[in-house]
Amino acid sequence: MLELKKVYHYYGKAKALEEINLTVEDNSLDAVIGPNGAGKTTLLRAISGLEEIDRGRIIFNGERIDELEAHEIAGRGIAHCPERRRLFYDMTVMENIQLGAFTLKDKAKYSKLLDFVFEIFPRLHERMKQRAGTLSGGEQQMLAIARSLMANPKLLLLDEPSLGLAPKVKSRIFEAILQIKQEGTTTLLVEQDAVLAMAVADTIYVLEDGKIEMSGTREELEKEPRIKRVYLGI
Amino acid sequence: MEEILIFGTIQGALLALLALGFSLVYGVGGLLNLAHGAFFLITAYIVYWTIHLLTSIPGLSYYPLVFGIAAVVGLSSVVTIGAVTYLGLMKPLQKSHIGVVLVTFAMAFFFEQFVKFVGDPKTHYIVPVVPGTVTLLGITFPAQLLALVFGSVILVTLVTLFISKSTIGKSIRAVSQDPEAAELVGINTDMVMMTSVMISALLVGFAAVLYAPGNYIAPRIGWGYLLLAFSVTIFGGMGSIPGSILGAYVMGYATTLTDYLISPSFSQIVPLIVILVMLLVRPQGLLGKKRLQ
Repeated sequence: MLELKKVYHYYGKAKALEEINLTVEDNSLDAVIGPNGAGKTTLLRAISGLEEIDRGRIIFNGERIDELEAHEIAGRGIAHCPERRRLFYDMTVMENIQLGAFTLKDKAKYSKLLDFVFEIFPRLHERMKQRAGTLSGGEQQMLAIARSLMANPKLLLLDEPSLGLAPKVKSRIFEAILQIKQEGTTTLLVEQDAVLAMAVADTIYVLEDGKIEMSGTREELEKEPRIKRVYLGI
Repeated sequence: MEEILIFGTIQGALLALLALGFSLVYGVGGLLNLAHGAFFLITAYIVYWTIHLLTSIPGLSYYPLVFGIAAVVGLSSVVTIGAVTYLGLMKPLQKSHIGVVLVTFAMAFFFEQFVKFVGDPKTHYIVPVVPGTVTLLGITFPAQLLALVFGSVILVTLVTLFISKSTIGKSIRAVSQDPEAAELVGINTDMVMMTSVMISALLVGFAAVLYAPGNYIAPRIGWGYLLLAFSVTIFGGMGSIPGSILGAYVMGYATTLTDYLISPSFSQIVPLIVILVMLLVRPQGLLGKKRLQ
């Protein structure tokens, strides 16, 4: 579904991404883990067109997308749920959800998606008319994911969904991520909490200093002493 | 008192049309369009030239029809000019706000020289399309001004509803709050900004179509209207639609009150005083923040 081939990105002279090769298969849930500043967010921003890459190619369903604008990439079926939610805070929960479906033309599908997001996040249904800026951190994260799901994405990019949340809320968010996976939405998750990410992901990529240092399944990575020590604290 | 109520309302209606679009463009893209007054100027001149041209055609003497055609030509032209201004001048410079200020400032001068070049530097009069006078609360005033008030109330209501209820309106608000997040949900932010400039041009164009008849027009009038739009927007709050509407009517009554209590020439410096005082005391204006409300 998604393929990154030798992708490089620089901020001025500083290298943010270096020779990134990454593949996301249909119906999979893959994760990118790594320390703060490793380039995880930049990677997702490059895929969704918010950052222009300097070298390499990004291919989505056979089409090269690295030269498209972000809204065109969204129109191709990639929904990016950004770090720190980036909601439309002065709008209501319902308006945020409706804007998530901006590219969706099928009204029947819209109703189904609405039912699905309210099923996984019933709190949002209760707060439909409330302004997004007045929600708690956990509810805002739920809304950010719900907004992305409303586009009926072929590929969902989730950036640090657990950031700043209490452990109980984190678990609720990750339960929802598993439900989304069961519905068949291909997902690429970026997460600093390696334990949580590795618990749900099919393939895990370890990104450090802008480079993918390692990749594999949870079982494969758990055998690596460095992963155990640095990321799992074992 | 009645005079202040009536003429303050008329002035407020004009200011609302002038300021709403100016504030909208700032709220959505952070762009200060100093050619805003020139949009008024060019619409008024296109209406004037079109009326002049049409009335020279034998058999076409029914003035409301002539004026109607001229208004459509003027409004279509100013909306097109708005779109071209955005695509040609604002979009390439939108990351540099000072660049947009400078280029739209230059454009305002261009339009001033353009009407002098195509027409002449003299003042001209546009005959009101609504003839006669009306008397309200014992005050008699031109019926054209009543059309301005009704037109302004209808247009401001329609634009406010459009921005709060329609999909395009919601996308305009989304871009004003977070352009990147708007792109991520599939909104073409360039298209939204162009639409905002076009709506802004349409509103100021309507101000010209409704207010210029019965008044004299001259190449320099654009600057006065820009100053009015600017002062109301600063007073009400940059980027705030309710602030612009509230600010327009408060300023309308304040300037009319000054007209009566002090002198009409003093009331012309009220907008400048408002700009200075608001920037010093409350820079965000009455209801303002950067995001569109």
